Amino acid sequence: MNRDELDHLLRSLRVPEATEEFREALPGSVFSAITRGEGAHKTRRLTLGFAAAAACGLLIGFLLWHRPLSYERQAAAMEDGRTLHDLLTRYPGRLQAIIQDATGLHTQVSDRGEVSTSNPVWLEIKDGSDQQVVVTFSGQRIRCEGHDVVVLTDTSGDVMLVGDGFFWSRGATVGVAGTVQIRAGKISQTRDHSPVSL
Amino acid sequence: MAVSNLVNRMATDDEGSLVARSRNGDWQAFAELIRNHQNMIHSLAFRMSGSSGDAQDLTQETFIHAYRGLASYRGDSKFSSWLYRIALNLCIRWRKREEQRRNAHIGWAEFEANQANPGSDSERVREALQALPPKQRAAVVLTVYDGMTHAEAAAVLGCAEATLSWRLFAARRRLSALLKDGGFSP
Repeated sequence: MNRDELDHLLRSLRVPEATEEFREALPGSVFSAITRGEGAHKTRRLTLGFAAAAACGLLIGFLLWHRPLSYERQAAAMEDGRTLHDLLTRYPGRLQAIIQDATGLHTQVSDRGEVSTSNPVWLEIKDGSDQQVVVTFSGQRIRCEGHDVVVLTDTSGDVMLVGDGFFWSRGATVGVAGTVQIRAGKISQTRDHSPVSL
Repeated sequence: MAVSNLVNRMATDDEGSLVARSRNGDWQAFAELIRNHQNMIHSLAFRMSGSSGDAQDLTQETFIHAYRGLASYRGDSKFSSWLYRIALNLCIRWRKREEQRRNAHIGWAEFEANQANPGSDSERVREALQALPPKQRAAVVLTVYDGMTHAEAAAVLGCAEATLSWRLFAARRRLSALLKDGGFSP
């Protein structure tokens, strides 16, 4: 079949005329579909609005629940060992210190997995409005008020900070500025830690 | 010729005014646009769907879409061309409902029965067209039935002219095979 023959045959397709009834009813049916649709659209928009508001509420609730801990809460988590527990599982044998200051939570991690974690301690160092909480282990070296110090614990569990011209313990201090307040203590490793958001 | 141009321009101006009034929520103006173009859209919808029922639904859908999209009609093409594109896109995407599918043949049989001289060629052509992929069918409808050039049809379908030509070539080859020897075997 050549092209002309095919076109001729194709043009034999008869298109039924739309019925008079359909033609007359069409504008009205379009109008009612549009108004119905607009009503549905408004309802849908309203429903979507409520759904979006509910979703926002849930999101805010979730964020509040899982919000980054405030300094005080984070410091408490540092002191009672929850932060340590979480980070130790993340950096087994490599975690040297965790430092919480005004800028947030920082970690000091060794390249080698040989850090002894047998005697964990916490330190709170305040100098005026500056304050930081440090969690580390006996024998680790940290920076304290501009001094490079080693953290040690004695047999009774008291913490000492020993550096070049710097000494601090609960009973005695050498080279520590009068504005500086330090608190320190051992962290119990036997307690059951609940997870903490970092 | 000059009179014809003048009449066309007046018609276009009138259409422009109807569109503008429709945009402003004048329902009577849009109803007038529907009345002016419903036959064109219905014919296209029937050729594309092969079913009177579907053609009616598609015609209605076209005007609903057109009304909702009036704001996007910039007037740089004729309103009828814009409407035609909406209808064609709807036809290409049209998914027949099962019930309509079942009723299509019944509807066609009723239509045939109502004709003074029912011709079997028409029915064969309708079935052959339905056996084509929608985009090939659209290419045939635009060029064979509406007399558009390949470039015009390509513009309506939003494809390259070469693509349109290829679709048409493939459609003709398939239709020839389907319609040859007076038989039809999709």
